[in-house]
Amino acid sequence: MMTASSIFFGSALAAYFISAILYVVGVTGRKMRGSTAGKANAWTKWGYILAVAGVLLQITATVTRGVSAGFTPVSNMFEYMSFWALTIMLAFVVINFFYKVPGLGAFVVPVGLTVLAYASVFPREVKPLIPALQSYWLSIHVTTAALGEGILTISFAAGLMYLLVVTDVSVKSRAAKFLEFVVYLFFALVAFIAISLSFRIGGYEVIAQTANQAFLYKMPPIAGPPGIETGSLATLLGVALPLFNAPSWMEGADAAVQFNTILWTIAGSLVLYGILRLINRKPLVVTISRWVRGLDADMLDELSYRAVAIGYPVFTLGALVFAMIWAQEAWGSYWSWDPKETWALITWLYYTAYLHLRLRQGWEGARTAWMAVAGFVVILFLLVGVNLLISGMHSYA
Amino acid sequence: MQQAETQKQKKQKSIFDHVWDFFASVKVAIVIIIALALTAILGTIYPQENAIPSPNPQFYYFDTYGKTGDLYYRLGLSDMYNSWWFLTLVLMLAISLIICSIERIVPLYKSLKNQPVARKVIAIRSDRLYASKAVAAEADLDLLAEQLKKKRYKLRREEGALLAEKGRLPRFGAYIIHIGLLIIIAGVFVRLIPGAYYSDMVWLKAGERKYVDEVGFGLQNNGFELEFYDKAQTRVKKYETDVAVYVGDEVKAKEHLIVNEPLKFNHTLIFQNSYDPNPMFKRGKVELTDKKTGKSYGTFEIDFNDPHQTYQAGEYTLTMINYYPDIKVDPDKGGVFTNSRDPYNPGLQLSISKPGMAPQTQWMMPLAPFVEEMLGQDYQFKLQLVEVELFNMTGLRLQKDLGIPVVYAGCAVVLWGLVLCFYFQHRRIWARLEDGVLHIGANTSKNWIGMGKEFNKATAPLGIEPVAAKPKLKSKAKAPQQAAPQQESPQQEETTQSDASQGKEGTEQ
Repeated sequence: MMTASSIFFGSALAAYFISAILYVVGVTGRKMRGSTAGKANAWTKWGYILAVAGVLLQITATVTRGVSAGFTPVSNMFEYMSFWALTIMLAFVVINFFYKVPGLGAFVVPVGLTVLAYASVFPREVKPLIPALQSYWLSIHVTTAALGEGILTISFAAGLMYLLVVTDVSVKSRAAKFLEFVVYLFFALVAFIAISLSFRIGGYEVIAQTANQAFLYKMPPIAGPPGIETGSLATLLGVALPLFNAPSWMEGADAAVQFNTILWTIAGSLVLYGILRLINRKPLVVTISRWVRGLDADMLDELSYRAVAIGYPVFTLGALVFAMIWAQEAWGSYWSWDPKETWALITWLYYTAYLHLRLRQGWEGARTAWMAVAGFVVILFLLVGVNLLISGMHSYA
Repeated sequence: MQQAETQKQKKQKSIFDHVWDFFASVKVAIVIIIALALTAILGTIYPQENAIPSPNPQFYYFDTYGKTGDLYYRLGLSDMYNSWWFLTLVLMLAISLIICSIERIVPLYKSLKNQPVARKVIAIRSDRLYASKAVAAEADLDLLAEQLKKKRYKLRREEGALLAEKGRLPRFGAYIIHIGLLIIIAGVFVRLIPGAYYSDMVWLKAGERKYVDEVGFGLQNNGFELEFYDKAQTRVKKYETDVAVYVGDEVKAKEHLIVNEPLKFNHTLIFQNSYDPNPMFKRGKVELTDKKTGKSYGTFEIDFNDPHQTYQAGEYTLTMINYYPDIKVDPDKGGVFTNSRDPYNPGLQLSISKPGMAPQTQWMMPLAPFVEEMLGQDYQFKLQLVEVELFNMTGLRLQKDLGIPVVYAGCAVVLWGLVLCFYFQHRRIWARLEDGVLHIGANTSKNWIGMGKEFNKATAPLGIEPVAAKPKLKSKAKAPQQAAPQQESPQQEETTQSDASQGKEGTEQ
């Protein structure tokens, strides 16, 4: 059953991958350039069909894993991130069915694909549930929260598309630079996943032992923990590592290791971005903005808002109300300012501000689109940053 | 001149008015929301004091996170969600919720209550959904009314005029959310009422009973069990306590307490919260052997919670000289002492003797058998634990919070408001017969496409062609490239703002 589940996961990943390619080719391809811009073509149609197939495959994968594990598989980082990828794709498939925005898939499917690929960075084995997680609230709370976050992700994609439509990216402006930065961030995530995955597949591990602590590096230690001699840990391509030590104020348990991961990500993302930039020979955003040429800006603005309007109540229900009920059931305290709880509240407050600004202060178009784009960063931090950077009960240790 | 001055005074606002206006502003509310979000981030940098595994925060933050941790503690950020300034922000949010809601609910309610059935034609014509029938009579209105009734609209009629309305409540959705949030905040503050809130951990050893005066009962641990998934004991499967609730000496309730399924007694929930991962020694069977020959002289049993003064193993008598339940040996600081009164790491100093033999003093530490060698003495005997019974202390959490039903009620109200606000809409259709022409206009708070379908369905039996909603008129003239096609009649231009917006309260959602 578990192998079947793994095969389904792999197939879903492949389906999303092909779907993403079809979408990107569909919105950039020669056929498209000649025809009426922004109109759906055969490529994007097949992209959609593959996205639907991917969703079905991933649902099967999740169900089979759940059946074989004996619980809803949302209990660790691998399971949660893949579930989030599923909700993103599900929200996309449903919303695109009703709204039929031609290029939407070119933006959402790569995001869903990246999230699912990111899930594979984490260990995949099924671990039985610790007592605190043995509750049906695990399924209810996590799935609803993920669904809300998946729908909100659509608002990010639509907001980004809106900005690409209304911004003249060929002219140097702050907006154009920011958009390029958003594109860069996406590739930073891709670079991080590629680097982590390759070292994971290679089984790379180095342990740095200091006087009173051991640090486990899963990437070559460019930055060693404070107190380690430079060049004493490992070599990479003949260079003795670490090149230098993490600053001494980074005394948290894993601070030095995380700092090293960040260095790798920055380096990797710059290389990846640099290569793409060399191939493209102009800001990437200039090329990407062609994908959305001719799309109706108002419709995208409305879609971005609509996704918030649908996702916000679902998020409130799943990430706050159900979370509170479960915490009350499990610990007798519905709120304890755990970092994850607090970040869920911060995310909620963020979208609350968005809705008030839009509905009461008349913010529309570019301003709320920027908020929707930044909102995705908030969600990413809630889902990834909190788990990796801050310790708490949701760190899925 | 005097008169002018008094008038000026009249216009001057009192402090109350200023405060009211401040909190009635949506901008201020948004600033408070953002301030809450930003400050909440500060509290997540390091764990809060309630989440650290140490009772001494002043040392913990420095030891674990260094200088920045120390600074964090000193700035009060380690307990910031209880700090006066954070609570002030929450209070400001509550005030803003109250005043913002009052400020808008009342006018909205009044205008919806007093909305005219006979709306001005000029206003109807400016609706985003508008259709007309050139030669019409009262019978057409009847037909329209019939159609709308089928769609479950509430109808009001006047001579030559009709107002059909449904889903008025969703217009109040936002304020219902606000009220729900206020109920939640009120529920949180219930804990300030004396006796309404109690929260603490109770640690119980096997068989131990403790009374908690604040909740009026005592708890006894009649047995604690710990189960693992694996032999290596790395992943916990289950832990449970056989617990009994006492009032006086009378057992009032008994239960196998497991995680996630608390026992409720006297408005207090008793949770299986945790256990002490370091086991304690309960009983042990000790064998006395000869170190060289390995010959056994006999065994005896020790109750580590209450050791005897003397033991008998075969013909040997063992006398307890010293007992340290939780021994720590520190040669630098001069000898041995006990960390606590609980037998986590027992250390016994025994004198072994038999008639006709000089007594020998010997140490026994089950968790540190190598201590013998460390002490560097060549002992004749060996004291070996051959059977041992360990136990873990169970950690129960007592939680009493009379505010919980209030908080849950608040959550339910918030969700109800959210559903009303985002998934339902207010729909109105006006019809007016004037000079033999029937004008029909519609207005909705959202989903114009759905409204359009309903509108066209209702007007079709009158022989009116389907219409589409006109594009939204941008209030800000910044609208890009495609401006809405302006095909309004000359009459439209004469329309005053108030006429055109007659019957359209509040902002569209």
